[in-house]
Amino acid sequence: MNECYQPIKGKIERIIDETPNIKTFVIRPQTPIKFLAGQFIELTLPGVGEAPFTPSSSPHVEDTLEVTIMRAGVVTNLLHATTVGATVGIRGPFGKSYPMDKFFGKEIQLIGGGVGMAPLRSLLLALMAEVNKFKRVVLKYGAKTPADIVYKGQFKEWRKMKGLEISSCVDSAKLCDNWDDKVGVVTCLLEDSVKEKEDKSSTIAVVCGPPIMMKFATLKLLEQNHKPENIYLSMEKNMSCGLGKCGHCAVGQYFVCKDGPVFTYAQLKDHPELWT
Amino acid sequence: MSSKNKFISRKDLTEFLEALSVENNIFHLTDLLEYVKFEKEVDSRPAIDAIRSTIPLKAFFVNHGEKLEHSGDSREKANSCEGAVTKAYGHQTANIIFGVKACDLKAKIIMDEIYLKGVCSDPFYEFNNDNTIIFSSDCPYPSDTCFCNVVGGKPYAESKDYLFDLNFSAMEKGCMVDIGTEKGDKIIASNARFFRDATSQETALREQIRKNAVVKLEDINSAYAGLKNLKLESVLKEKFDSLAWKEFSQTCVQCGGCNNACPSCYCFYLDENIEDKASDELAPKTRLWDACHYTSYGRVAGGANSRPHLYERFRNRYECKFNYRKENFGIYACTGCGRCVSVCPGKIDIRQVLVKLAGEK
Ligand SMILES: Cc1cc2nc3c(=O)[nH]c(=O)nc-3n(C[C@H](O)[C@H](O)[C@H](O)COP(=O)(O)OP(=O)(O)OC[C@H]3O[C@@H](n4cnc5c(N)ncnc54)[C@H](O)[C@@H]3O)c2cc1C
Ligand code: SF4
Ligand code: SF4
Ligand code: FES
Repeated sequence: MNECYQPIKGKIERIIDETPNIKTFVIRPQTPIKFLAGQFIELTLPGVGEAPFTPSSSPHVEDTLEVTIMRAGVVTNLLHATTVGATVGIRGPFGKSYPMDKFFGKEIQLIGGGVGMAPLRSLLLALMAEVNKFKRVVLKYGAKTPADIVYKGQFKEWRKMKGLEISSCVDSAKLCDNWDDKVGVVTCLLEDSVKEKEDKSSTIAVVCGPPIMMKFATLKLLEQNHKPENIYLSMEKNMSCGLGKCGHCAVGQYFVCKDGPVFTYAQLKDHPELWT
Repeated sequence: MSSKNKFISRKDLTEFLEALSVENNIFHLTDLLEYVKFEKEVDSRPAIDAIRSTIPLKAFFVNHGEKLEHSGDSREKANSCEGAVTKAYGHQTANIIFGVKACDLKAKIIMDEIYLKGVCSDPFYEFNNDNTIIFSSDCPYPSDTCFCNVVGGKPYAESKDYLFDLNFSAMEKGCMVDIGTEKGDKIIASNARFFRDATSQETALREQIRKNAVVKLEDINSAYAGLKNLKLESVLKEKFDSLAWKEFSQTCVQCGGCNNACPSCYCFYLDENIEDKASDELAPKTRLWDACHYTSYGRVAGGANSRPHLYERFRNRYECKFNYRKENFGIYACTGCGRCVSVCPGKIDIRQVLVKLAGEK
């Protein structure tokens, strides 16, 4: 019998405070879990509930797995209250990953907002493992304030990496923050690409963040002549089973959990409930 | 497999059921539109010519409140679910469901697509499916809420369209029986003493009864006949933004009755067992039926919702039935059983909504 509804056990090995409301949990599953960047898991807090998260760690690491979680409600609040050593349950991985083979030889732009950086970190680590295979890798990340930026320590290391360009922006910064990058909503990250006046027809753009950010980023990308089939979105819908059975995640004919969560804008653009 | 139609007399039918009930649980339709367990020596009266049961066929396959316990004696576990129509069905060979209607068989095509196919099969549904024998039966007396004919169906099942093991067409002196599967064929073969070949008069009589039922349906649904020639998926696509959805949903109280009563509504959610809080063991999930009319259905992080307004959730059921699932599986997920019409406290009739929607400019 396939045990698709039964979580396997995992232990929380380390908890990293990222921002006032985001933590990264390092989890060691009882048996290693192999996943691809962009796929997601269902994480159970025993006796509380289950919620979907995208691993933020490298897909090349199998014996532990990291999830970066923002406090947003019942399950996530109580996850934040757990301590090292706590038991959690894991089902998955589920869904379609980013299609790496379609990215080879191209310029890749990763555009993240807030906790939407989680799947992008996993993808970034996968891309950096084969960095020579891409024309250029650019990471554009936005958060509310400098304090809300995730993976602060790692950004410093990434800025030193060869083959990776990073720009970041915050909605607002105080003088004491010592912020020396851009200030403005996330689309301001995309402004400089206009100035470059480059041909964007083969550039891959991968967007992940709150729905409103994804909407405006996508509109901006289209304005800059990015092709709908080269814009990748990670959709967030209510999910329960992860297997295309329980119905919750349906957007038109798609079940986000099995046909996504990674979609191209071309696949979804005609659906009236896309941004809701 | 025998392609000949068989005949069984009224008296033999009771004996046939008695014989089968030694090794199987038989649930038969009654004129109260319930499925009742057939017991020898109890005066249970199958009324297989009644219309569809109040509770849809899916209740035998996807149990509300079922603990999804994978390990151990899966057989017994899958059977011992509270809240199912069947309750525990013990160590019997199979569940025989007697009196399944064509509308429910069509809905089962959708259920099978969702639960048996895709990324993986649902092991609990698959188990129930493997251990269920379906005896369908014709509807000579469609009711006011029936409209299978409007959405491409018929008030009886033929093996070229639907999967049944045996189909029974009730007539005055007994039933004509069609064989749909090997399983059904074997059942007839091992109970051959109750059956004989149907005569040509009986075959002709059945055709007449079936025709009369179709005529009756046409009559009941004369006001909705126009829907038959429409591509409802196109209507639903084009009228997605119609303001009329607000008007249609005015009397909806979001009870979810239409979703629960619908034979093709497959939605559920996995519930956590609260008593396992703080335990180090991971309890199995519990499956609860869900309904897209509920506000909680589309909730996402921080109280956001993919369908915050009632009219959007109300619209979703129509889009799901006639547009989205049609695109997935090539058939409407609405089969015209009319349960949502009977159940709705807001007196909303899906046929009227469709006619008005199609007429919207
Ligand atoms: C594919 C996918 C990947 C995700 N990855 C991440 C990630 O890496 N990091 C992160 O912080 N967040 C991620 N999320 C969002 C995260 O799942 C929600 O924040 C979380 O479900 C909220 O649960 P809660 O109980 O704390 O919230 P509440 O609002 O209290 O939830 C109440 C109920 O609503 C339902 N619900 C609420 N939000 C969601 C949701 N988004 N999906 C499904 N059900 C929901 C739940 O069933 C729950 O029972 C992801 C969501 C999806 C769909
Ligand atoms: S989405 Fe709604 S209409 Fe569609 S199957 Fe689920 S409950 Fe039924
Ligand atoms: S049965 Fe009627 S009132 Fe109840 S949710 Fe359905 S449409 Fe609304
Ligand atoms: S999460 Fe259940 S169908 Fe997608």
